[in-house]
Amino acid sequence: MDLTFTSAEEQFRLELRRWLYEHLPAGWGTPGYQYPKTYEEWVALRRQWDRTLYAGGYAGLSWPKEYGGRGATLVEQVIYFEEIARARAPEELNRAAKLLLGPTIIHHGTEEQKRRFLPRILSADDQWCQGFSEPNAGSDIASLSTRAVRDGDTLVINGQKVWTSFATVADWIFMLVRTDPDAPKHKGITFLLADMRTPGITVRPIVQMTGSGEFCETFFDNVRVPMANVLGGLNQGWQVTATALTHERGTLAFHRHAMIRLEFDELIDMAKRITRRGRPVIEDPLLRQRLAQCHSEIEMLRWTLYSNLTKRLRGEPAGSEGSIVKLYWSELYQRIVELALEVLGPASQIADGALAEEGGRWQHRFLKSRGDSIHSGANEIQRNIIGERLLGLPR
Amino acid sequence: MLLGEKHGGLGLGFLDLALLCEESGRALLPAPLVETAVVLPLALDAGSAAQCERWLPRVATGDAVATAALAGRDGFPLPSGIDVRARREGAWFVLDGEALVVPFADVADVMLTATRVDDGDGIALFLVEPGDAGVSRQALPGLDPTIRTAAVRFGGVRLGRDRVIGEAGGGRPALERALRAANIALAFQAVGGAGRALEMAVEYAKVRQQFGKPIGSFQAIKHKCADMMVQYETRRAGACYAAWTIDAGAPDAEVAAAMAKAMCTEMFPYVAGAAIQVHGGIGFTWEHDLHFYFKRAKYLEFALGTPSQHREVVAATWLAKSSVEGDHR
Ligand SMILES: Cc1cc2nc3c(=O)[nH]c(=O)nc-3n(C[C@H](O)[C@H](O)[C@H](O)COP(=O)(O)OP(=O)(O)OC[C@H]3O[C@@H](n4cnc5c(N)ncnc54)[C@H](O)[C@@H]3O)c2cc1C
Repeated sequence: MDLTFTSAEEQFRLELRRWLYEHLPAGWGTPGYQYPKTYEEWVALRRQWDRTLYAGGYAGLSWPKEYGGRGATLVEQVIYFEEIARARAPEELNRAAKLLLGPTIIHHGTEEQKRRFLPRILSADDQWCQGFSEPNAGSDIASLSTRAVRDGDTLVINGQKVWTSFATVADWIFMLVRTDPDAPKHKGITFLLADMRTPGITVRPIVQMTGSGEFCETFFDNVRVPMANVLGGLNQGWQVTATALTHERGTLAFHRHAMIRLEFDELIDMAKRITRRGRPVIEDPLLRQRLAQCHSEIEMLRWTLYSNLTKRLRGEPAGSEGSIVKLYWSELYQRIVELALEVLGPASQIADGALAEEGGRWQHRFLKSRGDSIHSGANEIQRNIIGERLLGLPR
Repeated sequence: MLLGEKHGGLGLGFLDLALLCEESGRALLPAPLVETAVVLPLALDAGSAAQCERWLPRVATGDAVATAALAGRDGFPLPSGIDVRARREGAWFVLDGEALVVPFADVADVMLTATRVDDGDGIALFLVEPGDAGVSRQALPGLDPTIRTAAVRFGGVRLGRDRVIGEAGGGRPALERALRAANIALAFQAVGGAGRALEMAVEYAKVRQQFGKPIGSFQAIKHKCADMMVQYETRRAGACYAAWTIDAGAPDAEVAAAMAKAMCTEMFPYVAGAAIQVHGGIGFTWEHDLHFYFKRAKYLEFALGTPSQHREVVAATWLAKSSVEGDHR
């Protein structure tokens, strides 16, 4: 495990840090900053941020230069995620497209598709959403039943997707459809790109338990999509998806780690500030132990990520170790936000208004953390992967 | 239910009331049941005939709603979490201070308020009414949206002798009795909520199909549900035992109540969180009821003190005692 950065890498970090300082909204990340209040305002802000990143040359970091990317090394990508977390930069709205769809198009797309879609992903002209899950196909995504039937040069889609994050604001959807109902379930699936303005698509927002509305149900009623929008060939969708999903579990974990570290440091500050029975909470021997435990676990996560990175730099392919990381951070994070509520004490019950500590952000994080053990492969599925693929246990 | 027939109650035992609390927890009842049916009547055991006459019949018929303003920033009333002071001024008492996260203070007709008297440690319990000059309430948008809570401030609230329950300075036994019962009642609400969340998880695990099978057939889910059940059953038994100690006047009632509060209200968030996990994406939505259980679980966990604060009571009373007497109760 090599933990030193080259001077070129350090240079990249410094430039990025300066760039972030200059381009984030003034006062961003400081206590008095007026963050957006509504979901719509947040979405608008994040979309604008995507444009700013693009203008600064920080969109599509990992993408080859010929497709408008930066061709950054793995280490630079890691540095990028560490730095945007450190600056508390807004989360990219088009992240799924940049991390998942873009690399998949680069790998499987035709020249025409690359020219047409890739630049507009980076420039944030096209906002994308991910239409994989269906009411009856979640963990068992291969059993999806949204149908696409060929009619000349078009595919006609009928069916329903669910939990489609940000579908209300998306211009495009990348989705999986069943094109051969007679083939074995993994073999009749096609990866398809559809314009959200196509007649027949309706979106219904679903409020999440946090009270915010990213989730949607997306309905398809005789939606006609040109054959030219098939990615990677008819009935080849499963292999195409496999590429997409390895990207999803790659460097993004570094961002999660950096965010968790940042929030944990905030928690320590809070534990020093909040008093109980006249003494700072951080002096409570029990909470102290648990805070120290969480700190240690975040460090273990970090060294795990660096160790995986080293393997990849040596040219070993990314295997299923991403499952270890996803399982570990999601459950660790849930413990951290629970601990934060304990540090808050009775104030944990005040989620908003003048008396809420830190604007109620810990309560929001606490609720949101429950989604982390469900999305991108629920934790039970990650355990199956670890057991079967990493340990070789019988299925 | 606890009230004697004289005041229009049923004269039932505490265990009966506890089962009612369990049902209210299952149904996520958005009302100050514990404060109205447990805390106020028990505190009024030490009250005057006139005080009982004024409040108990109306509480029994449901015409009066009570709440309890017991703890300040510490969240745990005894021994040192009461942040309201009552000073004697001639025939009057003047109350100053604050109580946090008081449930349904906006609709309560009477607020049982715990205070420290003058500069000492003595406790006085007051019957504060919403119209009393100097009482102000600030609504607190809560983590649990079904329980409206408030910060209640007392700014020079002048009250006469007739508002003190028993002797000013001698209120500790009455408060302890009321708290003990309230902790058990909250524990039962947690048990009720957890029971429902567990049922929802199991029902869903039987009908939800993935990979051509009900998800409950996967051991990951089956064992999760089994673990939830083990926690639920053992905690419920502990709560029932604690309720019995109240009816029986058993000497270990305080430890039993503290254990029940700590164990049951810690079990509920675990069970509700696991139930969400069993449900996958749909468990993360507002449209599914589970999140209300999860949020209620967090409310109950912190109400009248955290599990860790209650475990400290267990440690202080039981650990000290058992080494001398070898009593395993
Ligand atoms: C915050 C969030 C954002 C999301 N965004 C999107 C999005 O943008 N686009 C999209 O397509 N989807 C999205 N999803 C959906 C997500 O991918 C699914 O929720 C997930 O795949 C689980 O599917 P499900 O909800 O149908 O649960 P199910 O698959 O029904 O699972 C229910 C439970 O059964 C368990 N289970 C299932 N199969 C097995 C098994 N074989 N062994 C053991 N346990 C098993 C699961 O782990 C889970 O605990 C999002 C979800 C969340 C929470």
